[in-house]
Amino acid sequence: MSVDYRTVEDQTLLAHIINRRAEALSVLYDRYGRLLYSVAYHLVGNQQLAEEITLDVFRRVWDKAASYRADRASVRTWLTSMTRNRAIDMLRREGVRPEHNSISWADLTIEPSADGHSPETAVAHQMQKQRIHAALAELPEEQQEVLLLAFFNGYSHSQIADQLEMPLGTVKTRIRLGMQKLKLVLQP
Amino acid sequence: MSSETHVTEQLAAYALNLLADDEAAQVAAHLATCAACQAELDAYQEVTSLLTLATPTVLPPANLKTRLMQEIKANDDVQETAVPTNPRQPINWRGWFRKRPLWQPALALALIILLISNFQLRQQLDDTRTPANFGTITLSSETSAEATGLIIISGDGEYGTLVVQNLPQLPETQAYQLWLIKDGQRTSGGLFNVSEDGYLARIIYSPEPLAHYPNFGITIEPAEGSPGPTGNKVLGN
Repeated sequence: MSVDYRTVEDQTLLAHIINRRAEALSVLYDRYGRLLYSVAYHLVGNQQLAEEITLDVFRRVWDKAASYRADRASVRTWLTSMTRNRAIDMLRREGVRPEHNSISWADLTIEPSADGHSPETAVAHQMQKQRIHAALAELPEEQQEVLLLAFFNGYSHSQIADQLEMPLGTVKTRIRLGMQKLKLVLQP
Repeated sequence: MSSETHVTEQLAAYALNLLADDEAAQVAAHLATCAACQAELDAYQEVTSLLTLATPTVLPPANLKTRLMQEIKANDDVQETAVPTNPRQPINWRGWFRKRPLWQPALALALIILLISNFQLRQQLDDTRTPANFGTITLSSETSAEATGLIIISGDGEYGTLVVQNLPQLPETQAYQLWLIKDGQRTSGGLFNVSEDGYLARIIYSPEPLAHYPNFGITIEPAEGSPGPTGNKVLGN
């Protein structure tokens, strides 16, 4: 009897990946490839680099799925954290300062995504997106502004302070307050 | 750990990867031993991940998945067929050996080497594991009882942080250089100086996952660094 990987949970997919089932990785890519590529692309602003980052993350999953800690994070959080960290490390290691990103919170999509998730998961994601929009809309504009630069440009505290010509302490406070509020609203 | 030393106020920025290297290194060092802050960080990372869900979609090139799967399948230990139940058939070792008599001495030797190295590895892990599943390697000095260092390696073996204390601050013409040592080869892990009180914490950037390097050393080099160690070793394991 063979497994229909498309129907199994993310964590179970990782267990099959540990057992070197390529098809399980293929399904994981179907579920998260677009998301991770989009996250990388918006950070580095370059198609080739975004491809490299995406491939690197999935290679890492293939080689190190056993290092995933289910008690610490969802598979999605594990993958997106790796992607963001890879992209930001690349920007800083190369000494590249991305151009000011023209994206705004209003551009964030609430459209359903046509990825490899089950209909139930797709609905859950859709509801989460709506909650994210509502949570962001509740933030004061100055907190939205600094979080935008942190989230989509991968700027450091000091780069945000330079960009907005604002004291470093103010940037740190606004980031912290914004994230605290999002945590409060978005956490189950 | 006392509340005075918690890094709660920096965790949101840490989750967003906003901190400068030295700040991030200090937070990482604290997280290695503080389950409360680690749990708080996990919550911020979940928030960050939720935000990514709403990222406007950019479609990757159609061949990206093909490239990935071709790379993976080039690896010869891929299992093409999924077998959900009883995936491993019991092996008849006696029959296996009977069919392969010439392999027996080599296999026996390999088995002995594996057992010894496994024992040594287990001893190292017992010495170095911390509650948050980080690995740590202690660096010491042969010439100073006070100078010490610590390398904290992430749970997946990828990343690490160097922390040193009680080293003398160097003049501008010199720098400490960290060496990542594997198979006798020394790769630079970066240059640094310590603060006035002899302390430094910084992220280590390495060409390979940090756990691939069993040994580390720190020497005093010219300020621009050296391709290989030339000065006296001040810390090592």
